[in-house]
Amino acid sequence: MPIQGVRTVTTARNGVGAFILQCKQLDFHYCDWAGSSRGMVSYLKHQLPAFAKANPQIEIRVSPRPNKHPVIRGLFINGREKVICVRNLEPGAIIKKVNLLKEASGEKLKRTTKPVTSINESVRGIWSPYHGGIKSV
Amino acid sequence: MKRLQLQRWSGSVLSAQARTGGRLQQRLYYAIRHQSTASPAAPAGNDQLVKKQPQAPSISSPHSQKSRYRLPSPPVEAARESAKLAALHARLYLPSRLPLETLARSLVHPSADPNPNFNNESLATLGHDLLTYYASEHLICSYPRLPLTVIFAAMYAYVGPKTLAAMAREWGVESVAAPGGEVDPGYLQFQRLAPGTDVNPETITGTERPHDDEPTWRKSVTSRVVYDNEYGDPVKGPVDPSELAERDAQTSQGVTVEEANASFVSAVMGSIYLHAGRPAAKRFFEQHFLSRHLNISDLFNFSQPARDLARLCARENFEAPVARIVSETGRKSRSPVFVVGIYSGQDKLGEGAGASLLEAHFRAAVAALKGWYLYNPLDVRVPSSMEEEGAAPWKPVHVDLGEVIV
Amino acid sequence: MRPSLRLLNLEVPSLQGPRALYVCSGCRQEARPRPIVARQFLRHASNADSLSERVRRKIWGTDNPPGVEDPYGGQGALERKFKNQQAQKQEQAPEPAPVEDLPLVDDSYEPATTWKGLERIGHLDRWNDAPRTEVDTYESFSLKKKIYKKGPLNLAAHQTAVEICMMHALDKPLLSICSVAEHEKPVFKMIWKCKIQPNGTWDKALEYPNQEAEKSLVYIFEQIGGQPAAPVAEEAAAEQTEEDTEALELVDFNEPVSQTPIAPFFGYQDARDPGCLTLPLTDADTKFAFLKRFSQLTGHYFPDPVIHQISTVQQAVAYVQGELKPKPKKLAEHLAENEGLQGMPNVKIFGKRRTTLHKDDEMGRKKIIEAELRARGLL
Repeated sequence: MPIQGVRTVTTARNGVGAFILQCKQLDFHYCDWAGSSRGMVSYLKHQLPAFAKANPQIEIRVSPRPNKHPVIRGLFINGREKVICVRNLEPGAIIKKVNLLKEASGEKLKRTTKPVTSINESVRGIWSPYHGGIKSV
Repeated sequence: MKRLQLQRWSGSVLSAQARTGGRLQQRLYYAIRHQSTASPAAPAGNDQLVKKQPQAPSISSPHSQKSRYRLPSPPVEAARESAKLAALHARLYLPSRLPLETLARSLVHPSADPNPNFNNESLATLGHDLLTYYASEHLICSYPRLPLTVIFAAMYAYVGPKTLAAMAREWGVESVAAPGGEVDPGYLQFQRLAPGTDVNPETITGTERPHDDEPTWRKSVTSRVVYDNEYGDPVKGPVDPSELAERDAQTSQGVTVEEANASFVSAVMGSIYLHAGRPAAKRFFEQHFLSRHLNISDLFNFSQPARDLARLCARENFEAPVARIVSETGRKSRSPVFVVGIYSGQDKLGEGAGASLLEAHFRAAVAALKGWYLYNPLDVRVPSSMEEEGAAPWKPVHVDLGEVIV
Repeated sequence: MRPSLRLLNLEVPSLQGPRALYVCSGCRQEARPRPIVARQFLRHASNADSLSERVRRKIWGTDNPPGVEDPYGGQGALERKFKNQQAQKQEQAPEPAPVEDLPLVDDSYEPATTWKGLERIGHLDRWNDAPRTEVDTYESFSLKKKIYKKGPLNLAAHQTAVEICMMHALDKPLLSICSVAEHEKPVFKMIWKCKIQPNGTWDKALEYPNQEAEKSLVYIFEQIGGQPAAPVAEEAAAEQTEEDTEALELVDFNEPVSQTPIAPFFGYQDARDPGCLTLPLTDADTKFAFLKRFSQLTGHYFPDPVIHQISTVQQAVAYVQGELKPKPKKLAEHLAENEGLQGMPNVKIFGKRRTTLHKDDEMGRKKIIEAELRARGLL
């Protein structure tokens, strides 16, 4: 058998073709009684419909969590989850937190020293000492 | 090119409950219902079909939560209640003509619900054929000289079950612990394998290939096109209908997560084709499958590249390849480097660097062969592009002879 | 020689028998009774003569002074106890048998483990089987069903105010009005027609619609709560027969109450006159009578702090109406009504807290868990 094929799996390049939002679910928890949920309740009443309309790909679940601080829990495609406590926050601040969760990739936060990573090989090629004007030693 | 009436097709594939409306479909629906009810008045010639379709569970219109426990998979009307399903629909940018009910159905593997009216088997079969068709035409047209084994590997990489399972995972599809009527239809439903089951059974027997019980006999590459599947794996021959029940019993024992996920992705492809038509299906394929990264030059595994190259040059009437040292350094040192080029007459076919002359020669031959096999014409059209409206007349694409026979 | 009390203490365990627990000397000192400390001076007494005895001898100059031997009540209780115990011990020492033989427990006694055969205690007849007597029936003082609508509440306030005014005017015990649970329809109609002057006092605020109504109302209210204090003597005999009939009628009053739980206030919707709302409830008796009657008519209960705060009829009615104010709406109900969210297929709103059990049910894991629990007999 002269040539054999090597079985591999194609790697995803999210956004090259279709873009899959990495935040797949947002859970909103609030308390009906407690004052720390006041901003959250206002957010759910007034801002949530617009957010849900703008992001149909996120499953949104609203459920009470009595006697606890309000919490937004984001579940991501990579299986991780991020939880933000929004006690005593104004609706405007909660919008920011929700956007933070929506735009997150779900990965742990890490410091990026190299801003560009690529799986494509370099267009310019790698310099070789054996080609070009070789000086005889 | 005459276009097929997709609505007519989709009506017959859709389950009775999931139809989108329309009088034509309603008539089809009634026809299906008459067919699937196992009445004694059914025509005698149809009893095979009747046997294959067990009677649909009598569904009382509003399902109470209790009665749902008796169903093998969630009822059709549960699809509208599921937020997970709607979110998945939006996340995949599925066309709005594809109803949530069909998406819910494509999430039900036959191992969860053996009733073909409610599982994704038919959709997955259709989707699988579409996927392999689009992938193979893309590969053959854009890399016309690829060896067959590499095409098999590339097909496996593009639409193989591993890739499909990875895609389902990247789409955020979760699977249930156990299928049932009460589960959220947004989960992938299948019967899991019992712990300790051997997932890699011994070699498949019962294929259509003659003498397939002789494991030591050589299987030619060309015969794999005929007898094997699109990934070059042996497949079972067509199953006798009398053994169908046996096969069903096997699938009801459970399947791997990979297989269930792969069936879901294929079923989504099939349902897009049914509901939104060919252009949408092709767009979906390009966006989700072709956009994935695959370096085809990594798929080659040569054993004797120099010999292959010599045969290739002989076949193509080139001068016999000659290897020459381009440059070298440190021949007597601990780490020498040789750069070897392979020349056919005045033309340099390939070049490779290695720590020994043999290695450099090997690499140079591999480079030369890859340079030949990975020929990639620009602006290539695939046959399915003729299905677009107002397509330019078809100009045959160049497809090479393929690999050399040694 | 008199034994030292400290030594006595040391002997306490042996004196009290083997049942006594060991007590350390420190705790024993702590627990020592006061009188012993008070008589510490006796520690060095060399003989039985106490200090007081010696003092008396010295005072009288003789060895046998007159008077009681010990004017201070003899020895202390503890001393006496110890003495007795010592004496008993000395007695018991030769024959310790009777202590063990004490027949405190009957040998034939067997502790019961079940009810069976035990003596019946309590109601000796079978009380459960006895038919219901009058005592057993219970009728609540106030309405069984609270009145919630505004109109009937005003009606009740008006009726109460008129009745209390009448009782004031007739100078009868105010609370006796509560014995009439409901008036007959013509009586109620007359009450309904009555007016109450705003900002009036309780005994003069009432305005009758006409003379006849005044007469009949006064007559009826005279009957309530027993006889008037001093009816005119000569009329007493003449009215004797009438009273009998009235008494019969009063009985008749009560019967329709239980029989007809039809619309309260005979279908009247609202009070004709809002004048009663301005009446003050400053007088404690009036206030109590008013609130009692009002709560009887409406079925609402007034807690003590609220009674303390109320100073006008208006406030009492307002309190009852404030009680009607619905609880603040839950957010889930708000969101369920929200039109923007109703059309969203990707939004799910739950009224209750979501637990792992819900998630298990959604994923189909619950039935596996339940089946396993059942298989182990834990469910």
